[in-house]
Amino acid sequence: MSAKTGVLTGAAGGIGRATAERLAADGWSLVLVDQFDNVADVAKGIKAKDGQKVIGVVADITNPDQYGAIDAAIASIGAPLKFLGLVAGVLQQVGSIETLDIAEWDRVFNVNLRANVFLMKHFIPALRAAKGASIVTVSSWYGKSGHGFFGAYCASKAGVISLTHTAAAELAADNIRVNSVAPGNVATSMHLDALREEAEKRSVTFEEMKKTEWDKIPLGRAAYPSEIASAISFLAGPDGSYLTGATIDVNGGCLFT
Amino acid sequence: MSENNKGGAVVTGAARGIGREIATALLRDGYGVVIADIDPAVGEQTVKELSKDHAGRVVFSKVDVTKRDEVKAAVAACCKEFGGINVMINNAGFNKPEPFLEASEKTWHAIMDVNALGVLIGIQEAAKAMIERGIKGKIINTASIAGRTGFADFAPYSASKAVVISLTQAGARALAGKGITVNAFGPGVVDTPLWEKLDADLLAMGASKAPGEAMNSLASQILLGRVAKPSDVVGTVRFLWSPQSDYMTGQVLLIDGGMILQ
Ligand SMILES: NC(=O)c1ccc[n+]([C@@H]2O[C@H](COP(=O)([O-])OP(=O)(O)OC[C@H]3O[C@@H](n4cnc5c(N)ncnc54)[C@H](O)[C@@H]3O)[C@@H](O)[C@H]2O)c1
Ligand SMILES: NC(=O)c1ccc[n+]([C@@H]2O[C@H](COP(=O)([O-])OP(=O)(O)OC[C@H]3O[C@@H](n4cnc5c(N)ncnc54)[C@H](O)[C@@H]3O)[C@@H](O)[C@H]2O)c1
Repeated sequence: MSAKTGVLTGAAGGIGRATAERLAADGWSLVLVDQFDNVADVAKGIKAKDGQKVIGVVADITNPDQYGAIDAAIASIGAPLKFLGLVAGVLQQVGSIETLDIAEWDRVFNVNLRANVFLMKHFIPALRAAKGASIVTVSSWYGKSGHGFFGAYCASKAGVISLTHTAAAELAADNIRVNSVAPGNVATSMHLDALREEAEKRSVTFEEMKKTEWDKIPLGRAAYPSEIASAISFLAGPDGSYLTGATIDVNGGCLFT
Repeated sequence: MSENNKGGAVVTGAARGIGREIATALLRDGYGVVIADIDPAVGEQTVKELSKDHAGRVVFSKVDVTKRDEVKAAVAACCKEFGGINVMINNAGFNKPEPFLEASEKTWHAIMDVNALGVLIGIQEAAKAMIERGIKGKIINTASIAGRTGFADFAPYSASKAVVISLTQAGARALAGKGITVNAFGPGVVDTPLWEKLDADLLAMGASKAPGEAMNSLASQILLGRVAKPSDVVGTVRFLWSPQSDYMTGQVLLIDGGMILQ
């Protein structure tokens, strides 16, 4: 297999870490990006075969001034950049449109949408030069339909799906495919924290809130992060070669679109 | 039987085209495969050719997907030959273009019977056999971009593929409790015998002016700049039968090279 490098954001988080493990097993060298300092330890913990490298870089993706360290890591690996995985994201403080602080709206949009535009702008030239590359964004089932008390998060994720379409249209001629994975509920701290906060908001227990949400899922449970990683791996790999502009819903059947 | 025996699979409409390519990939992945098709001549020939690399692991079953007994018999053959049914691919389908104002009852019923009712029967018969054996199987239906957006000259076909999407969702809800997932894939424009016939029909109808024109004009709307080969579709279908997609049910994956962006 010829050497290839991927950049993955949000790699210290639940889905990001599982994706790093999966892509490393698929043969990718990786630059793992996260604002959490422990991303270097995450990188060390990933099993890599001979000739593969996995490097952790601490960076705030909303600040393009910090992308230099990512470029340096890619250069040190020395294999062409053929994959950009935009996994990093934040949840919002749960609250109605009427009461939502606009600074919170801006914070969510800055990470979930604006930073991904910065990252695309920055990495498209390298992806183009690789002559055959792909971008995978992580959106959400909350981006496919609105939900009360999650106005900023839902709208930002709808934006991610739209951005995926536009990028697919613009980059097909450069042999860069752009697709999205829309997870349902995933059993990471993001989902469990959200359940906890929504339970408080609705004055019910965590277990009641969890049951209410999980009962809506035909497969009866939240996803393992590895189940989102496997869809990202598919889109980045050769089996996905005729897909562009697509969104794969990995949600246990909780939403049909 | 091969060492990495993964169990049995039935693929309808597998004598040729997309179905044949799917059957080939299932064989390579270690499944025993029943080629279930209405056309025995092409079907037997396909079994003969695939047997060269997969002797004893591929059989033909003459099936009209609108006939429940015949579908049941194909599923039974799969269980007998390969010890069970793990994957069901409801792929048989056809199209007959007619200008919208002339789309006839006859065409409507013919297309609905095969493309829609055939998929319902296929899901039911496969699921019953899976439930009986406690198999957490995967049922995959062939939809189309036409099920997401209606095409003027393909009204009954578009409607039939919207039905496939509905049945995929209803089946997913009905069978999740048994651990059976139901998903669909929707190709865009694939260069198969189906399109050769469609191209000729469209030309005869006056919807295009030269052979190949209808397909080429669609190709110009595809971001990746070309129509698909059957092999372009297979990767996504393989993803759907593999454990990689275990958390997906009731979903439709479009493989259109970037055409309708839905
Ligand atoms: N968990 C779910 O139920 C769920 C459902 C649908 C979609 N998603 C999406 O999946 C993605 C990953 O979520 P997760 O569940 O793994 O969450 P997580 O909170 O475990 O991981 C997110 C990671 O992104 C990083 N990050 C956030 N802002 C950053 C910034 N400005 N710069 C660099 N890194 C930053 C965080 O440090 C964290 O490590 C997110 O985009 C999320 O919206 C999650
Ligand atoms: N080719 C395309 O562009 C395209 C696009 C979207 C969807 N599809 C769908 O993909 C599927 C396969 O199409 P293809 O392009 O390979 O077509 P094809 O005509 O090459 O093959 C279809 C096969 O189905 C069989 N068949 C037809 N009626 C049957 C019946 N009643 N019972 C059993 N078998 C029957 C035929 O004998 C043939 O072997 C169809 O459902 C079609 O609607 C095709």
